Amino acid sequence: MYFNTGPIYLIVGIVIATVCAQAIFFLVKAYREGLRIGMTKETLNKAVVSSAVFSVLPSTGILATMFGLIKYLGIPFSWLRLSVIGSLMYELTAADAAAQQATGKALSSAEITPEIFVTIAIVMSVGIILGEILCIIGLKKYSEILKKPRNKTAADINADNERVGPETWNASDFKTSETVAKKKKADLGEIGGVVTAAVFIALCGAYIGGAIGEAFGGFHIDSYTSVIPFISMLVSVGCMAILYHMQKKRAWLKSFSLSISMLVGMVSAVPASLVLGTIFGA
Amino acid sequence: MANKVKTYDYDKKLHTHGRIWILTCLLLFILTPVAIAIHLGVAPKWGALLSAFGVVALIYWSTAAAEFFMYVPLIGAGATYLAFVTGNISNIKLPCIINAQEVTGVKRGTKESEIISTISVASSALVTTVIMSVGVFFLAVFSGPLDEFFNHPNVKPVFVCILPSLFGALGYSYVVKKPKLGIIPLIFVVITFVAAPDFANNDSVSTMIIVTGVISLASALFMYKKGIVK
Repeated sequence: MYFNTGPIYLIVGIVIATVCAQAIFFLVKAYREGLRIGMTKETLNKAVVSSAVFSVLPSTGILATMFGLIKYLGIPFSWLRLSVIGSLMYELTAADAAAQQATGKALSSAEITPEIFVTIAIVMSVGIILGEILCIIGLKKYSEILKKPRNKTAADINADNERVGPETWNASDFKTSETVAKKKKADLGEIGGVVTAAVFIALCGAYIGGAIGEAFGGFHIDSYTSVIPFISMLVSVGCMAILYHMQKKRAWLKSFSLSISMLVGMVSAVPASLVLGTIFGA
Repeated sequence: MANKVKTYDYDKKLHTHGRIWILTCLLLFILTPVAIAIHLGVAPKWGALLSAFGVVALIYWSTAAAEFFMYVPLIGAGATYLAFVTGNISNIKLPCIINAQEVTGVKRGTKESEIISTISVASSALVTTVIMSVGVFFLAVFSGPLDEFFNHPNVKPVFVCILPSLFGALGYSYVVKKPKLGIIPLIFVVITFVAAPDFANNDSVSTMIIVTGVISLASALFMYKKGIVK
């Protein structure tokens, strides 16, 4: 296929290598600074090893979801998208939206021509950059605001100023009382949680509706094949329900619940279509 | 004395370095599809690109902004510069940082904890990349049989079911946490998709995301104000 060729591997490889270089750069800088401020090598190594070990399982979970992407986008581009910021749900939403707008058909039934592929690739790449833009324009300022301590005495602040540098803060900045700030923060967190849940429920709901509509749209069933996505959605929801309750006792399952449910749901399409095909004919 | 100057240096340079790296990666992310387009000798469909971008931005820019303001206080600036390039913040990086902070016993909000966060995100990102790359290597080696497998008539239905399977499971995990938020949007999608298939169907899901999003947000904010959900 055109999207699995050497030059595309090369392009993607360069980007992934750069991202790794950034990780190594920050790792070395932070490690050295840690040593310099008196942290022990043992502590720093502990952070490296525990984080590396901790990441193995969830990373394998991400690798498993790659099957959801490579059929449409090929191996190298899926590799890139799942290695950098983004997630399977984001990538699939972006790909589906681009396919629908470009062809009038859903991603699963659209023919991915090179033109459509490039359109999807741009939507995916540009649609997720807000976080990075915010880092460039606002992270310095935001972290300075966060570092301003509350309820400190002027003497403390002056001492801090001497230690860290002159331009960071001054006594008049500390009018807000700690409790008010905490309450505000809790409210913001609460409403943020509600908004995020509402947005994601809508996103999932639209796809759940799509599967229901394909099966029963217009109050009739077109053919047995149109019911299969609905069945596989039910299987995946059922699987998630089971895993969700299991993961309360087995925390490691958390990294896999979504990938396992998705894969079980997808694979259930095979027996479903074989069984329904035998009963209702092609 | 020299040490003091250096501390100040690290903190100040952190932002300069962070910005340079993130800008470089940002440019590379954007240039990648452009390079692929040039390599394939095709141009994107601009109209479709803009409208699809609208759909994606509506959902993901609001969450990206929320994530930014939520995560920075939790993980610190150095880790943020890296986490917003390497992604998987809520599912890998954040739990990884919390784990590393606990293992090393640093106090949250201190410079030590910021350093541990940065080291943690960097190590985690490298491990994810290595695992993904090894997986990709095997996939590439077996891409011939893989193609055949994908196009086998018994396997084909699997790929029609990716989106319903993923979003079904994901939807469950959100609704089970806040069931009340699910009621109105789910009733809405079932009714529209079943009763108005000309308007709402599998090929118009991206438009329906916006409509459902507005309804879901409005009902969620209403319920939040009335104290029905927290």
